[in-house]
Amino acid sequence: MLDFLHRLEATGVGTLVRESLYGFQILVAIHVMALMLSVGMILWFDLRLLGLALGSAPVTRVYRRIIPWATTGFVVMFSSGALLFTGFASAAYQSPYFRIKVSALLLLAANAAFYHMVTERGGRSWDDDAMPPKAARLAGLVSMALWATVIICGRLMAYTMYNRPGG
Amino acid sequence: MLEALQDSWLAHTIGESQMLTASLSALHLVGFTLVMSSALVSGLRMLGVTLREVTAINVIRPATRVMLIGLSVSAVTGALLFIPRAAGAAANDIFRLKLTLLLGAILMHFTMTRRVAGWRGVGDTGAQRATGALGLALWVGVALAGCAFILLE
Repeated sequence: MLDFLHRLEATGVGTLVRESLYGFQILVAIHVMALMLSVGMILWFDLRLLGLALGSAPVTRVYRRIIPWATTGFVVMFSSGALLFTGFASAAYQSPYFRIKVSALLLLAANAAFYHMVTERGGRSWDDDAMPPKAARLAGLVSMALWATVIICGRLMAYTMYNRPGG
Repeated sequence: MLEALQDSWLAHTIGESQMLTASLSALHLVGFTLVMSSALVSGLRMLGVTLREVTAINVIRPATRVMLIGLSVSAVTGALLFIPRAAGAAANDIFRLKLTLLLGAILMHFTMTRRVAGWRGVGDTGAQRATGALGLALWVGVALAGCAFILLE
């Protein structure tokens, strides 16, 4: 695995990310701004599920309004994250924070899949309720906690991995 | 005075611990994500490009509550991160720009945005859209200046 990651780092893209004058900084800035859009908008669906905001609109309607923004942010965040990974693949792979961050992202996918395939199935009956049932509230709470974990680990990674301030 | 602050026990404790600095920075970003989340949903609703089935004031009201939580977290962690590098940060143009934009964005949200969102009757107006656009521009400016400050030093 490490051998593959070293080869990834040695590619043109990896070298460009690592060694260009401002390429790395610009990529991190794009990554953070996209995170703000993605997580920032998802939070409002989580709060709707928790019954804490936007209770006057049906749950499925809030989802439809929020998801295009969140998806746009996620695609940019994921692409810029993948490019950053190319430059520092082996160090990232060995960082415990990176591993926790990726695990949290996988759990977020599982949480979303469980919500859509199981919890939401009976959604027609509580779509208009200002306070959704316990299973839906739990999905919102889990999503918020996991996104906080992703952000915290992303920042801890940056401080412990590159040997550059704030990097 | 800033040098004295930078020489304090607290400044040394934070400045000499990479883990403490990293943890404060992580919490600072979590707090700021709450702020930006509120700023985005407020701005986009004022522009009339999302959640039109909810009245503007019913978006701005919960957004303001979340923003206050986010601002509290980022202000406390931001102050603690500032202490070990007080003199340097205070003299940094990007840091000054960040604080100026932050002040503008906060004033904008807690005066104009909340007031204009509460206007009844006609629904989305030009004033609402202009307020939304200006608010968003200020908050995105704060975020970009924050990124630039930490990445370019």
